Amino acid sequence: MATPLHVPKPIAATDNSPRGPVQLQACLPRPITFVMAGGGAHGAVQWGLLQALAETDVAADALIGTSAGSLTSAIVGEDPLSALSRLSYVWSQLDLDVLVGDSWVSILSSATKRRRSLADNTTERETLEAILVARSFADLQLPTAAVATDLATGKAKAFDSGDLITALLASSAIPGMLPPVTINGREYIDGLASANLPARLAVERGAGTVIVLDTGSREPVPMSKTPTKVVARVNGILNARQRSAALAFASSRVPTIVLPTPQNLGAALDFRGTMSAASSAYELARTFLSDFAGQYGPKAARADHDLERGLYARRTPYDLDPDLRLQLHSVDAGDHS
Amino acid sequence: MTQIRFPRPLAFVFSGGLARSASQIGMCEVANELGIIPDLVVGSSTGAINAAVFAKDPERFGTEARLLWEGVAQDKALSSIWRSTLRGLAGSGSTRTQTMLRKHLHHVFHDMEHGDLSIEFLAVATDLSTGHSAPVRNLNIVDSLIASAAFPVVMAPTPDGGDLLIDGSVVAGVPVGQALAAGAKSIIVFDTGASGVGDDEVISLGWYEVLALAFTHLIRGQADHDLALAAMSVPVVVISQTTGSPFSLRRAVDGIDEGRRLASEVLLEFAPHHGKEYRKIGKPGLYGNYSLEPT
Repeated sequence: MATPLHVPKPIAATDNSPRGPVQLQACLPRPITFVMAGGGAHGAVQWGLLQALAETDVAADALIGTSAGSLTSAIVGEDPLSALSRLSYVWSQLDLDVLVGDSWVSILSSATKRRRSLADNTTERETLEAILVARSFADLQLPTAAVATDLATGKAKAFDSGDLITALLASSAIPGMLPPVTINGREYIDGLASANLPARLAVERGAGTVIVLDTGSREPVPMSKTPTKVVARVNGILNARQRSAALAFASSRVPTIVLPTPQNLGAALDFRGTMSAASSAYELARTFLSDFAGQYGPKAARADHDLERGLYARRTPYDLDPDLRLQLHSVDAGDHS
Repeated sequence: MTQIRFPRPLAFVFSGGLARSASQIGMCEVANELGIIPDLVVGSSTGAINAAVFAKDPERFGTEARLLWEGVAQDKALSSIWRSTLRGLAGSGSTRTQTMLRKHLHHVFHDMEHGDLSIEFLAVATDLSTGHSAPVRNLNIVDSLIASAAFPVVMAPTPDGGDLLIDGSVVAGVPVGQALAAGAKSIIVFDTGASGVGDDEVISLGWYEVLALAFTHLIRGQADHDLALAAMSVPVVVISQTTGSPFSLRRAVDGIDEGRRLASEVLLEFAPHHGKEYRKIGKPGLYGNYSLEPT
């Protein structure tokens, strides 16, 4: 017997909320900034989160993204109305091949040579130019920023004007793998080295509400002493630390809403799982947003004014640093049976 | 000479920084000469090694620390960080670097335990499974230092009970948070862990150097966050040295004089000498020669 299809029911049919989008926007201080983290192929998670957000009345006033998140930000910023449809085309085609192309093949022969990166970014540039019509930040409909890292100083830099494609290349220049990108005479690499989750920058740039679209994480692997496993784990630890610090900063100043993300993904450069990553992100986020609206939204009894600052998330959103003093407003799971 | 008054307990915090940490010898000596004696010392990675030598005997610190660093510098098998990295990548070799470092540390500490030191000492490591910092309490001094300095790939993780410990600088490049948790009411940081290269140097980096630099940037970004957080609750005096290569162990001791110069510059500002005006240290905040730029 065939397995029945799994299709999420419309939110309005599963709870007692009236028809129409989930009401949220009225309680969120403006401008509302969508903050999109990096994560390679895990970036597909953000497509699913955006699908869930589309079932609410929340729209982005501004966007800021790092690496894969900078591309998604640019796609939404270019035309919010068609973004979801265009993202479905993007994620059904994106793989390592359209990012590094043939240049990847030469890795083994060139790894030992003194070169700036293992692959080049010619193919990635062509891919970005095929995805976007905009060539400059000025061509985008919404204020959008792409975050890269100054290679010499290690400082995060948010690009929001000038050449869009070059800024996106800089933001996603995975260190070692893709070449650093020169902008205005300075060298930049992937924003992951300074602000993989650019929530702090979002607040510094004036966000009234931060909505965090993270990219989920890999299934935990058993720890061992193998150097590659240790390095991968160190990378994960550093990422989590940066995220904790960014969330602590943002939530101490503005309401910071962290959408839930899948925690059982494959490798960050494995593009085979993008569809399932997106659909599980969609399902997690839509129930979260419905619960959030019920607890904190404009129709909730306690919300007769703007949402107060703090972190709005599931009770244990992440492996957050215990030293951080976070103002956590827990979003509890309602009944969605 | 009147002593500079710090709110007590005062902690000395020693950052990581590989070869550059040798400068901490000069910094710490100057503090000593000014009569500044800490109630506890906290260190990550190579900084933990200096901190422990200090905690063993502050009077003999300069001599013992110099001997230790010179010994490491002359040990051909240890002084090439690239060679150690290759050994680590080869897998089986990673215990060799450990064995050799252990030999040098053993000359100084023998089988000393934490209780044998004259000042309270905290070595900070990273717990690989939780991803949080872990004070190393259960191991003897040599093993604590090996755990705290287990730079990924170069050295293998150290088992401690059911946990695996690696380099403390991964989560606590400047372990001020750990000093606060241990009760410090004021902190002097010997900071040799800045990340960055010159604008002229940056264009000549190979792919693996770009990768390594990305990691150190990420580590430093978090250390800056920790510094900002600590400076909100206690006075934090930072003596920061950004010159000298982290990778050249052979010339590490050359940085000691620069460490002395920087420490004098920073600390004398607070010293009541020659009847001049001096700054008081009391209120929480960041003092010294390091500033946290907004991103």
